[in-house]
Amino acid sequence: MDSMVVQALYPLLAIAVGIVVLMTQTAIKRDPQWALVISLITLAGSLWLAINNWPATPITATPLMLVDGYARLFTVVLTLAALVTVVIGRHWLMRNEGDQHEFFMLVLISTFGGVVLAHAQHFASFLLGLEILSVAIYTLIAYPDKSWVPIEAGLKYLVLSSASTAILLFGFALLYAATGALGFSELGERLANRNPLLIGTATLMIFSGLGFKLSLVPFHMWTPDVYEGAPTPVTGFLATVSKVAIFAGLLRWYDSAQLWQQPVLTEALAALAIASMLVGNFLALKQDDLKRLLGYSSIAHMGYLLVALVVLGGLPDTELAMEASVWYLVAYTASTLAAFAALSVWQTRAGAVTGSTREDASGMFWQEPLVALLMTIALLSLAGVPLTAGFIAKFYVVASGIEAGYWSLLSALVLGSAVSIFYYLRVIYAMSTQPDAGASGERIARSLVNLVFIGLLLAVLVLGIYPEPLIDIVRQTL
Amino acid sequence: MSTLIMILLAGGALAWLSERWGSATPAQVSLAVLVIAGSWFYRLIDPLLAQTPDLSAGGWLLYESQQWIPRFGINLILAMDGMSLLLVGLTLLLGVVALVASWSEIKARQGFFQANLLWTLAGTVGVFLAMDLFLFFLFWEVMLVPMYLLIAIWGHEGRAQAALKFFIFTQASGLLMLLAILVGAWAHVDQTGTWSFAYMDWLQTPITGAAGAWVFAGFLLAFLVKLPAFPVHSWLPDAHTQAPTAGSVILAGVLLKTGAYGLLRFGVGLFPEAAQEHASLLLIIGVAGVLYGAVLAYGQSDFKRLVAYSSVSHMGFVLLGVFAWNALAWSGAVLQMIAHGLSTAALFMIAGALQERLHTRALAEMGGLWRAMPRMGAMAMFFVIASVGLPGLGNFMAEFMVLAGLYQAWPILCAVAALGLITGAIYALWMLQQAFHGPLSDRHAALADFKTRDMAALGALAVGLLWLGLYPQPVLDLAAPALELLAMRAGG
Repeated sequence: MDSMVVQALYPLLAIAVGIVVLMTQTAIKRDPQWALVISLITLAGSLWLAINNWPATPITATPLMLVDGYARLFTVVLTLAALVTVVIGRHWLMRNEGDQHEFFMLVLISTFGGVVLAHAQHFASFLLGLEILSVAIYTLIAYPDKSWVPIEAGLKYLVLSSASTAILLFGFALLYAATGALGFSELGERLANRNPLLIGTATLMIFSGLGFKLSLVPFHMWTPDVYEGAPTPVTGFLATVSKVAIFAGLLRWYDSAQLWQQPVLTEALAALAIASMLVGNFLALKQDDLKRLLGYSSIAHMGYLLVALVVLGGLPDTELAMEASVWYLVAYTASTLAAFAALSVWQTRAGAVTGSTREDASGMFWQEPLVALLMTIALLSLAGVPLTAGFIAKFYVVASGIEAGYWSLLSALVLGSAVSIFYYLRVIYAMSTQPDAGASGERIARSLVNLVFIGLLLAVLVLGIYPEPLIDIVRQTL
Repeated sequence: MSTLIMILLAGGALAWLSERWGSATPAQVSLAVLVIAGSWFYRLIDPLLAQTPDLSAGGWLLYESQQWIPRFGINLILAMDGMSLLLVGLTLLLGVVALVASWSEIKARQGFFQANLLWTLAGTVGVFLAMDLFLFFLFWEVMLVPMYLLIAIWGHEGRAQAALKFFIFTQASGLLMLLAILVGAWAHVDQTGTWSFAYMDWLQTPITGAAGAWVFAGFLLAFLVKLPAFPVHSWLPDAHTQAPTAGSVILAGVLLKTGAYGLLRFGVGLFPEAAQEHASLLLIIGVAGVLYGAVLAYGQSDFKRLVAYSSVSHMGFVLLGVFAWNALAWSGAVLQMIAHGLSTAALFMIAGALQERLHTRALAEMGGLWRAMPRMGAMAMFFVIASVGLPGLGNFMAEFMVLAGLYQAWPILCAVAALGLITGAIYALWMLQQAFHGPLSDRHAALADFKTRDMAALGALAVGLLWLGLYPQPVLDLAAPALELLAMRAGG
């Protein structure tokens, strides 16, 4: 490896170094404040390196990794999301006595896996990234050791996730059997003129495995339970970093192997997309628990995202749909993370951790204006109301759908969006109702949390009001 | 023009912040903002009134454009012609009326209330001025969210349901409009190779045939819901009844007009072929709205709900005017937008005042109120008679022009629609009788009459209606170039 390759991998290496430092520090003195500082420095350092080392041309760092603008962009998104999770997680842990150290380490490890996924151009690195990401998340979900609910959620995720990885691996093996290649672009070149049945089965198995991780219908059953059971900051992490990293890896594979040329696959994906949009939105209507609600809404959002993947095949050039997918991922990350961050801080506000039902949210507007404002903006963004990032994202997806002329997908999208307004608005309405007298608990000092809140608020709004800079960046990276 | 919108947006934020200086401050700030916005508007239009716009260049009195999202060819285009000038003026005037109407009604969280009020107005002004379809959709939504909050937070007993229904009806139809806008933009890309959402660009590349009909349908649905037309009107009675007075005034006075405006400007303007093809169906919907609204209004026992249903009936005339497809009817439709805005705003203000004093909206609980509150009674009488269509007042002029225009093309429909005038008189006079005539209950003997503040606001509206009824020519002249241009494009 020459020095340029090493330099290109700096952001990734920085996280690895941070993890080692954190482990060493834990062995010497267990102090969560230290752990917080080290994780913040690690993530900020990685972010700084990623931004300042923007590769002018793609650099192939071993056959496994490709360092290009696309990988960098997702590195930035993932580390930013991890930064938010670390700060919110620390706030949440302050209300929950017990070991706090490993939380930060696990977040870092998981982020590392996500960043590997963003760089992957080979099934080996794809699988490595995926597993590093997931294994740390199992533990994070079950992190609060005093209660049964998180352990149940963690176990559920562990078992189902392992099964899905097995299916995924089987798919990889079949693809290898059919083509003899594991690198993404190499694979794409050899797909033509191979046994279509084998390739169709293989890609469908891979998508089933990934569909589980992305919680696409019908692989979504675990989502609401795990979302509800996991500590709220971890749910936010699971909903964003895990899904976005996997989708980023998947998108690279889908694009460089030109999978849209497989009609069986695109038809299956179209079915998954429609099912996810409809089932996610309609079941979200019935939820009283906000975490379950956001779980179902994330199913729907993954459905919207799939629309962009499906239409890739129907377009003269893939530019618009690729832009749409990347944009959607960024907007989804900002909005979802904002919603979970607000919910987490609201929950930890009143003494012990409180529930997350709609009634629990009542009065938020009048007791915690900043939290409520962030929640409102986040929900409006998820609903796709203009002047938020979510609107531009949905605009992109609809535009690419129209360009390709996929009317059935678009009808499901519009129907789903219309339904989604109902349940998002109910939450906003609950927040605006009068609080019960005397329900206000004492607040913990949280200047860092407020800083993160303002950052998230600005991210969602600025991306919605002035999207051109990010559009330019995304266009350059593709 | 962008400054005008900015004044309202920033003023809203300022009113919110001013809450900490005292509970009465936000309303004062809000009034100051509206006065500043009004004088800015006056300064803006004063040199324009004498101008004759250049029809070949689009007929705009004012036009400004700035780049926003070049990726999709989206620009911040604001433009004003006579029609939008009138509607923006109406918006600002009714903004002041709404503010006065809610001066003492709102007790809780004044600051946020005033902010939402000003933001709704900003969105509405934006809708009337935006000439980029993307921007238009954006303002369409901006006026929606604060209005939702106004109903949801400060509304009456059934506010949660009503606010939700209002939002879902408008948002769902708005999504279809967004889809239609995007299809239209894509058609433009197909024909020219570049993205554009500008109204003037779309005029160059008309969308015809089946595609045009579908895109038109997307726009149409959003506008019909907003108007509202039968049978997608069912959000309106709930929203109007449950909204706080200021909300009802703005909703009935200006928000409904955005639907009518959209129909004329975008529905007829961009898709003349599709619009004309479906004119007969839409006229039947219009007649149905006129009669159905009137019949249901007669069946109401709730003062506000009755006025709300009367809006359905009167806005049916606007729909008739738009699709009667000639210049006379179009002028009538524009006049009806303004006249109905003034008269209904006044009626909702009176309804709000009654509720504030009696704590009920039930007509059965009222009666003889004239004796207790002669000023209110006189004002109610004036505006009820105006909305019934007494000659010499604006509503008569407008409805007469619409019917005269309709008669030229569809005499039978015109005859049926004219029945609406009779039914209108029945329910409106019945309402007046129930509330203000008859014996006065002892409970209501000591009610406070309207103050000078209220009388001034209603007086201004009354003068406006008289002016429209007696000498509507200046208003018609102002709107004429825009309608002439429309007629040229639509071949009407």
